[in-house]
Amino acid sequence: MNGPQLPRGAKGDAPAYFDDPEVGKVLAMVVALAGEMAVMRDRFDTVERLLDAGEPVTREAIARFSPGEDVRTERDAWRQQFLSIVFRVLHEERERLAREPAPKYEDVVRGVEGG
Amino acid sequence: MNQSVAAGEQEKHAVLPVPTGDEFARQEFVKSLKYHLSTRVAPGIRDSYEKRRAPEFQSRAGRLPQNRREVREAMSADPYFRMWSALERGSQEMLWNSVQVSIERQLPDLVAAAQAAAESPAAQQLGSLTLDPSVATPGYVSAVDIHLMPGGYYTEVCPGDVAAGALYDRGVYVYANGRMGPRNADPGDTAAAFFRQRFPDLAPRRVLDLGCTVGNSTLAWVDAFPDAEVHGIDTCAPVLRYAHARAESLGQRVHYAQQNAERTNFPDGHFDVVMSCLFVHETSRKALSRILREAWRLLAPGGVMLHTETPPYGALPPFDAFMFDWDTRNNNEPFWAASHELDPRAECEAAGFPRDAVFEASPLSHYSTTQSKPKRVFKGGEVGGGWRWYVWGARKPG
Ligand SMILES: C[S@@+](CC[C@H](N)C(=O)[O-])C[C@H]1O[C@@H](n2cnc3c(N)ncnc32)[C@H](O)[C@@H]1O
Repeated sequence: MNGPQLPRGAKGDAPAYFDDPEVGKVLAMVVALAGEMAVMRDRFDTVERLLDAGEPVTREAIARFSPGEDVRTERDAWRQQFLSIVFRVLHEERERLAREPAPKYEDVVRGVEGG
Repeated sequence: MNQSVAAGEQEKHAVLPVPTGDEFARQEFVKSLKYHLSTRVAPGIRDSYEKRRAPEFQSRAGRLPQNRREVREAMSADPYFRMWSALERGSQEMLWNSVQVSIERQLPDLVAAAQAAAESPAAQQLGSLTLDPSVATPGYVSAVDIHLMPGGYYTEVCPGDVAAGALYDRGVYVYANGRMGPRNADPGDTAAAFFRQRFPDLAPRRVLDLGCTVGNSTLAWVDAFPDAEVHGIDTCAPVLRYAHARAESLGQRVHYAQQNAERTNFPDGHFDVVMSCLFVHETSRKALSRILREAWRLLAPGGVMLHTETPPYGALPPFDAFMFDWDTRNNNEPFWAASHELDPRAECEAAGFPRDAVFEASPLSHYSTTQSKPKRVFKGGEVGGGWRWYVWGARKPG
Protein backbone atom coordinates (compact mmCIF):
# COMPACT_ATOMS: atom_id res chain seq x y z
CA MET A 1 0.00 0.00 0.00
CA ASN A 2 1.57 3.32 -0.96
CA GLY A 3 -1.24 5.78 -0.21
CA PRO A 4 -1.76 7.46 3.17
CA GLN A 5 -2.20 5.15 6.17
CA LEU A 6 -4.94 5.64 8.72
CA PRO A 7 -4.14 5.43 12.44
CA ARG A 8 -5.07 1.90 13.58
CA GLY A 9 -5.36 2.30 17.34
CA ALA A 10 -7.89 4.53 19.09
CA LYS A 11 -6.64 7.22 21.45
CA GLY A 12 -7.55 6.46 25.09
CA ASP A 13 -6.44 3.91 27.67
CA ALA A 14 -7.81 0.39 27.37
CA PRO A 15 -9.33 -1.12 30.51
CA ALA A 16 -7.50 -4.10 32.04
CA TYR A 17 -9.78 -7.11 31.62
CA PHE A 18 -7.40 -9.79 32.81
CA ASP A 19 -5.06 -9.98 35.77
CA ASP A 20 -2.35 -10.94 33.32
CA PRO A 21 -2.47 -8.49 30.39
CA GLU A 22 -0.84 -11.07 28.12
CA VAL A 23 -4.11 -13.03 28.20
CA GLY A 24 -5.86 -10.15 26.49
CA LYS A 25 -3.23 -10.05 23.77
CA VAL A 26 -3.53 -13.77 23.08
CA LEU A 27 -7.31 -13.47 22.99
CA ALA A 28 -7.08 -10.67 20.42
CA MET A 29 -4.78 -12.78 18.26
CA VAL A 30 -7.10 -15.80 18.43
CA VAL A 31 -10.14 -13.77 17.39
CA ALA A 32 -8.17 -12.07 14.60
CA LEU A 33 -7.18 -15.50 13.28
CA ALA A 34 -10.76 -16.70 13.46
CA GLY A 35 -11.73 -13.64 11.43
CA GLU A 36 -9.13 -14.32 8.76
CA MET A 37 -10.28 -17.91 8.58
CA ALA A 38 -13.85 -16.76 7.98
CA VAL A 39 -12.55 -14.48 5.21
CA MET A 40 -10.80 -17.44 3.57
CA ARG A 41 -13.94 -19.52 3.86
CA ASP A 42 -16.09 -16.84 2.20
CA ARG A 43 -13.50 -16.57 -0.55
CA PHE A 44 -13.61 -20.30 -1.10
CA ASP A 45 -17.38 -20.15 -1.17
CA THR A 46 -17.13 -17.49 -3.86
CA VAL A 47 -14.88 -19.71 -5.96
CA GLU A 48 -17.33 -22.60 -5.65
CA ARG A 49 -20.24 -20.44 -6.67
CA LEU A 50 -18.38 -19.10 -9.70
CA LEU A 51 -17.56 -22.68 -10.69
CA ASP A 52 -21.17 -23.80 -10.17
CA ALA A 53 -22.31 -20.98 -12.40
CA GLY A 54 -19.75 -21.95 -15.04
CA GLU A 55 -18.15 -18.52 -14.82
CA PRO A 56 -14.43 -17.87 -15.19
CA VAL A 57 -12.63 -18.01 -11.85
CA THR A 58 -10.22 -15.09 -11.95
CA ARG A 59 -8.83 -12.96 -9.15
CA GLU A 60 -10.80 -10.10 -10.60
CA ALA A 61 -14.06 -12.07 -10.54
CA ILE A 62 -13.43 -13.14 -6.93
CA ALA A 63 -12.66 -9.59 -5.81
CA ARG A 64 -15.74 -8.24 -7.57
CA PHE A 65 -18.15 -10.95 -6.41
CA SER A 66 -20.91 -9.29 -4.43
CA PRO A 67 -23.07 -11.84 -2.60
CA GLY A 68 -26.83 -11.41 -2.86
CA GLU A 69 -29.20 -11.73 0.05
CA ASP A 70 -29.49 -15.54 -0.13
CA VAL A 71 -25.75 -16.05 -0.18
CA ARG A 72 -25.29 -13.60 2.69
CA THR A 73 -27.88 -15.45 4.74
CA GLU A 74 -26.14 -18.78 4.14
CA ARG A 75 -22.80 -17.30 5.08
CA ASP A 76 -24.29 -15.71 8.21
CA ALA A 77 -25.51 -19.15 9.30
CA TRP A 78 -22.10 -20.70 8.62
CA ARG A 79 -20.36 -18.02 10.68
CA GLN A 80 -22.66 -18.57 13.65
CA GLN A 81 -21.83 -22.27 13.57
CA PHE A 82 -18.16 -21.51 13.22
CA LEU A 83 -18.24 -19.08 16.16
CA SER A 84 -20.05 -21.67 18.27
CA ILE A 85 -17.07 -23.95 17.70
CA VAL A 86 -14.53 -21.21 18.44
CA PHE A 87 -16.29 -20.12 21.63
CA ARG A 88 -17.29 -23.62 22.79
CA VAL A 89 -15.64 -23.20 26.20
CA LEU A 90 -17.62 -20.02 26.84
CA HIS A 91 -20.89 -21.64 25.83
CA GLU A 92 -20.23 -24.52 28.19
CA GLU A 93 -19.62 -22.05 30.98
CA ARG A 94 -22.80 -20.17 30.11
CA GLU A 95 -24.78 -23.41 30.19
CA ARG A 96 -23.32 -24.30 33.58
CA LEU A 97 -24.29 -20.86 34.85
CA ALA A 98 -27.80 -21.30 33.52
CA ARG A 99 -28.14 -24.59 35.42
CA GLU A 100 -26.89 -23.17 38.72
CA PRO A 101 -29.71 -22.68 41.22
CA ALA A 102 -30.83 -19.11 41.73
CA PRO A 103 -30.75 -17.75 45.28
CA LYS A 104 -33.83 -18.55 47.36
CA TYR A 105 -36.62 -16.05 46.91
CA GLU A 106 -36.88 -15.38 50.64
CA ASP A 107 -33.19 -14.46 50.72
CA VAL A 108 -33.78 -11.97 47.94
CA VAL A 109 -36.68 -10.39 49.82
CA ARG A 110 -34.53 -10.12 52.93
CA GLY A 111 -31.76 -8.60 50.87
CA VAL A 112 -33.99 -6.00 49.29
CA GLU A 113 -35.45 -5.13 52.65
CA GLY A 114 -31.95 -4.67 53.99
CA GLY A 115 -32.37 -7.43 56.62
CA MET B 1 -36.03 6.16 0.94
CA ASN B 2 -34.58 4.95 -2.31
CA GLN B 3 -36.39 1.81 -3.38
CA SER B 4 -33.63 0.68 -5.71
CA VAL B 5 -31.38 -0.30 -2.81
CA ALA B 6 -31.07 -4.08 -2.50
CA ALA B 7 -32.33 -5.62 0.73
CA GLY B 8 -29.79 -5.45 3.52
CA GLU B 9 -27.38 -3.25 1.60
CA GLN B 10 -26.10 0.23 2.23
CA GLU B 11 -27.12 2.77 -0.37
CA LYS B 12 -24.23 3.56 -2.73
CA HIS B 13 -23.08 7.08 -3.53
CA ALA B 14 -19.99 8.83 -4.91
CA VAL B 15 -17.88 8.63 -1.73
CA LEU B 16 -19.03 5.39 -0.12
CA PRO B 17 -16.03 3.03 0.06
CA VAL B 18 -16.97 -0.13 -1.81
CA PRO B 19 -15.36 -3.29 -0.38
CA THR B 20 -13.75 -6.06 -2.41
CA GLY B 21 -14.91 -9.62 -1.74
CA ASP B 22 -12.32 -10.16 1.02
CA GLU B 23 -12.87 -6.75 2.59
CA PHE B 24 -16.59 -7.37 2.67
CA ALA B 25 -16.02 -10.79 4.25
CA ARG B 26 -13.93 -9.18 6.99
CA GLN B 27 -16.71 -6.68 7.74
CA GLU B 28 -19.28 -9.47 7.70
CA PHE B 29 -17.19 -11.42 10.20
CA VAL B 30 -17.26 -8.49 12.61
CA LYS B 31 -21.03 -8.23 12.17
CA SER B 32 -21.43 -11.94 12.91
CA LEU B 33 -19.05 -11.76 15.85
CA LYS B 34 -21.03 -8.92 17.40
CA TYR B 35 -24.26 -10.83 16.86
CA HIS B 36 -22.80 -13.97 18.40
CA LEU B 37 -21.49 -12.08 21.41
CA SER B 38 -24.81 -10.38 22.07
CA THR B 39 -27.07 -13.38 21.55
CA ARG B 40 -24.92 -16.31 22.69
CA VAL B 41 -22.35 -14.96 25.13
CA ALA B 42 -23.87 -11.89 26.81
CA PRO B 43 -26.93 -13.73 28.20
CA GLY B 44 -24.64 -15.58 30.62
CA ILE B 45 -23.68 -12.30 32.31
CA ARG B 46 -27.06 -11.97 33.97
CA ASP B 47 -26.82 -15.53 35.31
CA SER B 48 -23.37 -14.88 36.65
CA TYR B 49 -24.65 -11.74 38.32
CA GLU B 50 -27.84 -13.14 39.81
CA LYS B 51 -26.40 -16.45 40.91
CA ARG B 52 -22.89 -15.54 41.99
CA ARG B 53 -22.02 -11.86 42.30
CA ALA B 54 -25.26 -10.47 43.69
CA PRO B 55 -25.38 -13.06 46.50
CA GLU B 56 -21.69 -12.38 47.24
CA PHE B 57 -22.40 -8.66 47.43
CA GLN B 58 -25.36 -9.38 49.63
CA SER B 59 -23.38 -11.41 52.10
CA ARG B 60 -20.84 -8.58 52.32
CA ALA B 61 -23.21 -5.62 52.40
CA GLY B 62 -26.30 -7.18 53.90
CA ARG B 63 -28.37 -6.17 50.90
CA LEU B 64 -28.43 -6.48 47.12
CA PRO B 65 -26.84 -3.86 44.86
CA GLN B 66 -29.23 -0.94 44.57
CA ASN B 67 -27.86 0.94 41.58
CA ARG B 68 -25.59 0.47 38.56
CA ARG B 69 -22.50 1.60 40.47
CA GLU B 70 -22.99 -1.13 43.04
CA VAL B 71 -23.64 -3.67 40.31
CA ARG B 72 -20.39 -2.60 38.70
CA GLU B 73 -18.59 -3.04 41.99
CA ALA B 74 -20.08 -6.52 42.32
CA MET B 75 -19.22 -7.46 38.72
CA SER B 76 -15.82 -5.88 38.22
CA ALA B 77 -13.89 -9.08 38.97
CA ASP B 78 -16.38 -11.52 37.44
CA PRO B 79 -14.40 -13.61 34.93
CA TYR B 80 -17.34 -14.27 32.62
CA PHE B 81 -18.18 -10.57 32.41
CA ARG B 82 -14.54 -9.67 31.85
CA MET B 83 -14.18 -12.20 29.05
CA TRP B 84 -17.30 -10.87 27.29
CA SER B 85 -16.09 -7.28 27.78
CA ALA B 86 -12.69 -8.06 26.28
CA LEU B 87 -14.33 -9.76 23.30
CA GLU B 88 -16.88 -6.98 22.85
CA ARG B 89 -14.20 -4.32 22.92
CA GLY B 90 -12.08 -6.38 20.53
CA SER B 91 -15.01 -6.61 18.12
CA GLN B 92 -15.29 -2.83 18.18
CA GLU B 93 -11.60 -2.45 17.35
CA MET B 94 -11.90 -5.01 14.55
CA LEU B 95 -14.95 -3.20 13.19
CA TRP B 96 -13.10 0.01 12.44
CA ASN B 97 -9.99 -1.78 11.21
CA SER B 98 -12.04 -3.87 8.78
CA VAL B 99 -13.38 -0.69 7.19
CA GLN B 100 -10.06 1.16 7.24
CA VAL B 101 -8.34 -1.37 4.97
CA SER B 102 -11.00 -0.80 2.37
CA ILE B 103 -10.79 2.99 2.69
CA GLU B 104 -7.02 3.13 2.36
CA ARG B 105 -7.21 1.29 -0.95
CA GLN B 106 -9.73 3.81 -2.33
CA LEU B 107 -8.77 7.02 -0.54
CA PRO B 108 -7.28 8.96 -3.47
CA ASP B 109 -10.46 8.33 -5.48
CA LEU B 110 -12.73 9.28 -2.59
CA VAL B 111 -10.78 12.49 -1.98
CA ALA B 112 -10.96 13.34 -5.68
CA ALA B 113 -14.72 12.72 -5.76
CA ALA B 114 -15.26 14.97 -2.75
CA GLN B 115 -13.03 17.66 -4.24
CA ALA B 116 -14.95 17.55 -7.50
CA ALA B 117 -18.21 18.04 -5.64
CA ALA B 118 -16.84 20.92 -3.56
CA GLU B 119 -15.17 22.68 -6.48
CA SER B 120 -17.97 22.43 -8.99
CA PRO B 121 -19.55 25.82 -9.79
CA ALA B 122 -21.94 26.97 -7.07
CA ALA B 123 -24.79 27.09 -9.56
CA GLN B 124 -24.34 23.38 -10.24
CA GLN B 125 -24.37 22.37 -6.60
CA LEU B 126 -27.59 21.58 -4.82
CA GLY B 127 -26.25 22.64 -1.43
CA SER B 128 -22.92 24.00 -0.28
CA LEU B 129 -19.83 23.39 1.82
CA THR B 130 -18.25 26.12 3.93
CA LEU B 131 -15.07 25.16 5.76
CA ASP B 132 -13.43 27.39 8.33
CA PRO B 133 -10.00 26.21 9.48
CA SER B 134 -10.14 28.61 12.42
CA VAL B 135 -12.81 26.41 14.07
CA ALA B 136 -10.98 24.40 16.72
CA THR B 137 -11.81 20.80 17.58
CA PRO B 138 -13.37 20.86 21.08
CA GLY B 139 -11.41 19.03 23.76
CA TYR B 140 -14.25 16.56 24.37
CA VAL B 141 -14.13 15.55 20.67
CA SER B 142 -10.41 14.79 20.66
CA ALA B 143 -9.49 13.82 24.25
CA VAL B 144 -10.12 10.17 23.37
CA ASP B 145 -11.22 8.61 20.08
CA ILE B 146 -14.95 8.27 20.67
CA HIS B 147 -16.46 4.77 20.35
CA LEU B 148 -12.91 3.58 19.59
CA MET B 149 -12.93 4.96 16.06
CA PRO B 150 -9.20 5.42 15.39
CA GLY B 151 -8.41 9.04 14.59
CA GLY B 152 -11.89 10.16 15.62
CA TYR B 153 -13.78 12.65 13.47
CA TYR B 154 -10.94 15.12 13.35
CA THR B 155 -7.81 13.36 12.00
CA GLU B 156 -6.65 14.24 8.50
CA VAL B 157 -4.06 12.09 6.75
CA CYS B 158 -3.89 14.00 3.45
CA PRO B 159 -5.08 17.30 1.95
CA GLY B 160 -8.84 17.28 1.38
CA ASP B 161 -9.14 14.12 3.50
CA VAL B 162 -12.54 12.41 3.81
CA ALA B 163 -11.42 9.16 5.46
CA ALA B 164 -13.03 9.91 8.84
CA GLY B 165 -16.37 10.42 7.07
CA ALA B 166 -16.03 7.21 5.09
CA LEU B 167 -15.05 5.33 8.23
CA TYR B 168 -18.07 6.61 10.13
CA ASP B 169 -20.51 6.01 7.28
CA ARG B 170 -19.49 2.44 6.55
CA GLY B 171 -18.54 1.60 10.15
CA VAL B 172 -21.89 2.66 11.56
CA TYR B 173 -23.67 0.59 8.94
CA VAL B 174 -21.69 -2.53 9.87
CA TYR B 175 -22.05 -1.76 13.60
CA ALA B 176 -25.81 -1.41 13.37
CA ASN B 177 -26.04 -4.43 11.12
CA GLY B 178 -28.07 -2.35 8.70
CA ARG B 179 -30.75 -1.77 11.32
CA MET B 180 -30.61 1.99 10.85
CA GLY B 181 -31.57 1.64 7.21
CA PRO B 182 -29.63 1.92 3.92
CA ARG B 183 -28.60 5.50 4.83
CA ASN B 184 -28.17 5.03 8.59
CA ALA B 185 -31.01 7.52 8.78
CA ASP B 186 -33.17 5.89 11.43
CA PRO B 187 -32.60 8.35 14.30
CA GLY B 188 -33.27 11.28 11.95
CA ASP B 189 -36.29 9.62 10.35
CA THR B 190 -37.73 8.79 13.76
CA ALA B 191 -37.17 12.33 15.03
CA ALA B 192 -38.72 13.90 11.93
CA ALA B 193 -41.77 11.61 12.17
CA PHE B 194 -42.12 12.46 15.85
CA PHE B 195 -41.83 16.17 15.09
CA ARG B 196 -44.54 16.01 12.42
CA GLN B 197 -46.90 14.25 14.77
CA ARG B 198 -46.18 16.46 17.74
CA PHE B 199 -46.14 19.81 15.91
CA PRO B 200 -48.50 19.36 12.95
CA ASP B 201 -48.93 23.13 12.66
CA LEU B 202 -45.24 23.77 12.02
CA ALA B 203 -43.86 23.74 8.48
CA PRO B 204 -40.19 24.54 9.10
CA ARG B 205 -38.56 26.99 6.70
CA ARG B 206 -35.06 26.43 8.05
CA VAL B 207 -33.66 23.44 9.91
CA LEU B 208 -30.26 23.16 11.62
CA ASP B 209 -28.60 19.83 12.46
CA LEU B 210 -25.97 20.11 15.21
CA GLY B 211 -23.00 17.70 15.03
CA CYS B 212 -24.17 16.37 11.69
CA THR B 213 -21.06 14.24 10.91
CA VAL B 214 -21.74 12.69 7.46
CA GLY B 215 -25.36 13.85 7.36
CA ASN B 216 -27.12 10.58 8.23
CA SER B 217 -29.87 12.43 10.06
CA THR B 218 -29.63 15.66 8.09
CA LEU B 219 -30.80 13.88 4.96
CA ALA B 220 -33.77 12.44 6.85
CA TRP B 221 -34.99 15.99 7.46
CA VAL B 222 -34.46 16.94 3.82
CA ASP B 223 -36.68 14.01 2.90
CA ALA B 224 -39.30 14.87 5.51
CA PHE B 225 -39.42 18.60 4.68
CA PRO B 226 -38.45 19.08 1.02
CA ASP B 227 -39.33 22.75 1.11
CA ALA B 228 -37.14 23.57 4.07
CA GLU B 229 -33.61 24.96 3.81
CA VAL B 230 -31.55 22.42 5.73
CA HIS B 231 -28.18 23.17 7.33
CA GLY B 232 -25.71 20.86 9.04
CA ILE B 233 -22.77 21.94 11.18
CA ASP B 234 -19.84 20.08 12.65
CA THR B 235 -16.42 21.11 13.93
CA CYS B 236 -14.57 18.49 11.85
CA ALA B 237 -13.66 19.15 8.23
CA PRO B 238 -13.08 15.54 7.05
CA VAL B 239 -16.62 14.45 7.90
CA LEU B 240 -18.11 17.62 6.39
CA ARG B 241 -16.31 17.21 3.06
CA TYR B 242 -17.65 13.69 2.95
CA ALA B 243 -21.17 14.78 3.99
CA HIS B 244 -21.31 17.36 1.23
CA ALA B 245 -20.13 15.00 -1.52
CA ARG B 246 -22.53 12.34 -0.25
CA ALA B 247 -25.55 14.65 -0.24
CA GLU B 248 -24.76 16.01 -3.70
CA SER B 249 -24.37 12.51 -5.05
CA LEU B 250 -27.67 11.43 -3.52
CA GLY B 251 -29.39 14.49 -4.98
CA GLN B 252 -30.12 16.09 -1.60
CA ARG B 253 -29.81 19.80 -0.90
CA VAL B 254 -27.92 20.56 2.33
CA HIS B 255 -25.76 23.48 3.40
CA TYR B 256 -22.85 22.16 5.44
CA ALA B 257 -20.60 24.43 7.47
CA GLN B 258 -17.69 23.98 9.83
CA GLN B 259 -18.97 25.61 13.00
CA ASN B 260 -19.09 24.96 16.71
CA ALA B 261 -22.61 24.35 18.04
CA GLU B 262 -21.68 26.16 21.24
CA ARG B 263 -21.42 29.42 19.31
CA THR B 264 -22.47 29.57 15.68
CA ASN B 265 -22.45 32.55 13.34
CA PHE B 266 -26.08 32.33 12.27
CA PRO B 267 -28.27 35.32 13.15
CA ASP B 268 -30.77 35.30 16.05
CA GLY B 269 -34.06 33.58 15.32
CA HIS B 270 -32.81 32.09 12.05
CA PHE B 271 -34.25 28.56 12.40
CA ASP B 272 -37.61 26.93 13.00
CA VAL B 273 -35.95 23.69 14.03
CA VAL B 274 -32.63 23.14 15.78
CA MET B 275 -32.05 19.44 16.20
CA SER B 276 -29.37 16.86 16.81
CA CYS B 277 -29.04 13.10 16.66
CA LEU B 278 -26.64 11.03 18.75
CA PHE B 279 -24.80 14.27 19.43
CA VAL B 280 -25.53 15.22 23.03
CA HIS B 281 -23.77 12.17 24.48
CA GLU B 282 -20.57 13.13 22.68
CA THR B 283 -20.35 16.61 24.15
CA SER B 284 -19.71 17.61 27.77
CA ARG B 285 -21.58 19.00 30.75
CA LYS B 286 -20.33 22.55 30.19
CA ALA B 287 -20.62 22.45 26.42
CA LEU B 288 -24.19 21.17 26.56
CA SER B 289 -25.36 24.18 28.60
CA ARG B 290 -23.83 26.48 26.01
CA ILE B 291 -25.31 24.48 23.12
CA LEU B 292 -28.82 24.68 24.58
CA ARG B 293 -28.51 28.43 25.12
CA GLU B 294 -27.28 28.79 21.55
CA ALA B 295 -30.26 26.78 20.30
CA TRP B 296 -32.57 29.14 22.19
CA ARG B 297 -30.88 32.11 20.50
CA LEU B 298 -31.10 30.54 17.03
CA LEU B 299 -34.78 29.61 17.22
CA ALA B 300 -37.48 31.81 15.77
CA PRO B 301 -40.51 32.33 18.02
CA GLY B 302 -42.53 29.11 17.92
CA GLY B 303 -39.49 27.13 16.79
CA VAL B 304 -38.53 23.76 18.22
CA MET B 305 -35.30 22.32 19.59
CA LEU B 306 -35.07 18.54 19.70
CA HIS B 307 -32.36 16.03 20.49
CA THR B 308 -32.44 12.33 19.71
CA GLU B 309 -30.49 9.81 21.76
CA THR B 310 -30.72 6.27 23.10
CA PRO B 311 -33.11 5.98 26.07
CA PRO B 312 -32.00 7.29 29.49
CA TYR B 313 -31.19 4.95 32.36
CA GLY B 314 -34.05 6.41 34.38
CA ALA B 315 -36.38 3.54 35.05
CA LEU B 316 -34.00 0.68 34.24
CA PRO B 317 -33.37 -1.96 36.92
CA PRO B 318 -29.81 -1.69 38.31
CA PHE B 319 -28.39 -4.63 36.34
CA ASP B 320 -29.79 -3.38 33.02
CA ALA B 321 -28.51 0.13 33.70
CA PHE B 322 -25.10 -1.36 34.44
CA MET B 323 -25.04 -3.23 31.12
CA PHE B 324 -26.29 -0.20 29.23
CA ASP B 325 -23.53 1.81 30.85
CA TRP B 326 -20.82 -0.49 29.47
CA ASP B 327 -19.89 2.02 26.76
CA THR B 328 -18.87 4.68 29.24
CA ARG B 329 -15.78 2.81 30.37
CA ASN B 330 -15.23 0.29 27.61
CA ASN B 331 -16.05 2.07 24.38
CA ASN B 332 -14.50 5.52 24.85
CA GLU B 333 -17.81 7.26 25.49
CA PRO B 334 -16.85 9.43 28.47
CA PHE B 335 -20.10 11.45 28.58
CA TRP B 336 -22.36 8.42 27.99
CA ALA B 337 -23.35 7.85 31.62
CA ALA B 338 -23.86 11.47 32.61
CA SER B 339 -25.71 12.31 29.39
CA HIS B 340 -28.13 9.45 30.03
CA GLU B 341 -29.04 10.89 33.39
CA LEU B 342 -29.87 14.44 32.35
CA ASP B 343 -33.05 16.14 33.41
CA PRO B 344 -34.47 17.69 30.23
CA ARG B 345 -36.70 20.06 32.19
CA ALA B 346 -33.87 21.55 34.20
CA GLU B 347 -31.58 21.70 31.16
CA CYS B 348 -34.06 23.48 28.93
CA GLU B 349 -35.18 25.86 31.63
CA ALA B 350 -31.60 26.90 32.32
CA ALA B 351 -31.24 27.69 28.61
CA GLY B 352 -34.25 30.02 28.62
CA PHE B 353 -37.15 27.76 27.64
CA PRO B 354 -40.25 27.85 29.83
CA ARG B 355 -40.60 24.66 31.85
CA ASP B 356 -43.98 23.78 30.38
CA ALA B 357 -42.57 24.00 26.83
CA VAL B 358 -40.31 21.01 27.46
CA PHE B 359 -41.14 17.57 26.06
CA GLU B 360 -39.66 14.11 26.11
CA ALA B 361 -40.79 10.95 24.36
CA SER B 362 -39.59 7.49 23.37
CA PRO B 363 -40.81 6.99 19.82
CA LEU B 364 -40.47 3.58 18.24
CA SER B 365 -37.71 3.36 15.69
CA HIS B 366 -39.06 4.39 12.31
CA TYR B 367 -37.06 1.75 10.49
CA SER B 368 -37.89 -1.09 12.85
CA THR B 369 -41.60 -0.38 12.45
CA THR B 370 -41.59 0.13 8.69
CA GLN B 371 -38.83 -2.02 7.22
CA SER B 372 -36.89 -4.56 9.15
CA LYS B 373 -37.73 -7.78 10.87
CA PRO B 374 -36.67 -6.84 14.39
CA LYS B 375 -34.68 -9.99 15.06
CA ARG B 376 -31.22 -8.57 15.50
CA VAL B 377 -29.65 -7.11 18.57
CA PHE B 378 -26.89 -4.51 18.78
CA LYS B 379 -25.19 -5.79 21.86
CA GLY B 380 -25.65 -7.32 25.27
CA GLY B 381 -26.60 -4.04 26.84
CA GLU B 382 -29.69 -3.59 24.75
CA VAL B 383 -32.78 -3.97 26.85
CA GLY B 384 -36.51 -3.61 26.85
CA GLY B 385 -37.50 -5.75 23.87
CA GLY B 386 -38.78 -2.90 21.72
CA TRP B 387 -36.33 -0.71 19.99
CA ARG B 388 -36.94 2.92 20.75
CA TRP B 389 -35.14 6.21 20.50
CA TYR B 390 -35.41 8.97 23.06
CA VAL B 391 -36.37 12.46 21.95
CA TRP B 392 -36.28 15.50 24.19
CA GLY B 393 -36.41 19.23 23.69
CA ALA B 394 -38.57 22.32 23.98
CA ARG B 395 -40.55 24.78 21.93
CA LYS B 396 -39.79 28.46 22.08
CA PRO B 397 -42.99 30.42 22.79
CA GLY B 398 -44.49 31.97 19.66
C1 LIG C 1 -22.00 10.69 16.90
S1 LIG C 1 -21.65 12.02 15.86
C2 LIG C 1 -23.27 12.52 15.31
C3 LIG C 1 -23.92 11.63 14.33
C4 LIG C 1 -24.89 12.27 13.37
N1 LIG C 1 -25.66 13.35 13.94
C5 LIG C 1 -25.80 11.20 12.84
O1 LIG C 1 -27.01 11.27 13.06
O2 LIG C 1 -25.30 10.28 12.21
C6 LIG C 1 -21.15 13.43 16.83
C7 LIG C 1 -20.62 14.57 15.98
O3 LIG C 1 -20.69 15.77 16.72
C8 LIG C 1 -19.58 16.58 16.36
N2 LIG C 1 -19.42 17.59 17.40
C9 LIG C 1 -19.08 17.39 18.69
N3 LIG C 1 -19.08 18.56 19.37
C10 LIG C 1 -19.45 19.52 18.49
C11 LIG C 1 -19.68 20.92 18.60
N4 LIG C 1 -19.49 21.58 19.75
N5 LIG C 1 -20.07 21.59 17.50
C12 LIG C 1 -20.27 20.94 16.33
N6 LIG C 1 -20.08 19.62 16.17
C13 LIG C 1 -19.67 18.91 17.23
C14 LIG C 1 -18.46 15.60 16.20
O4 LIG C 1 -17.41 16.14 15.42
C15 LIG C 1 -19.18 14.42 15.54
O5 LIG C 1 -19.10 14.52 14.16
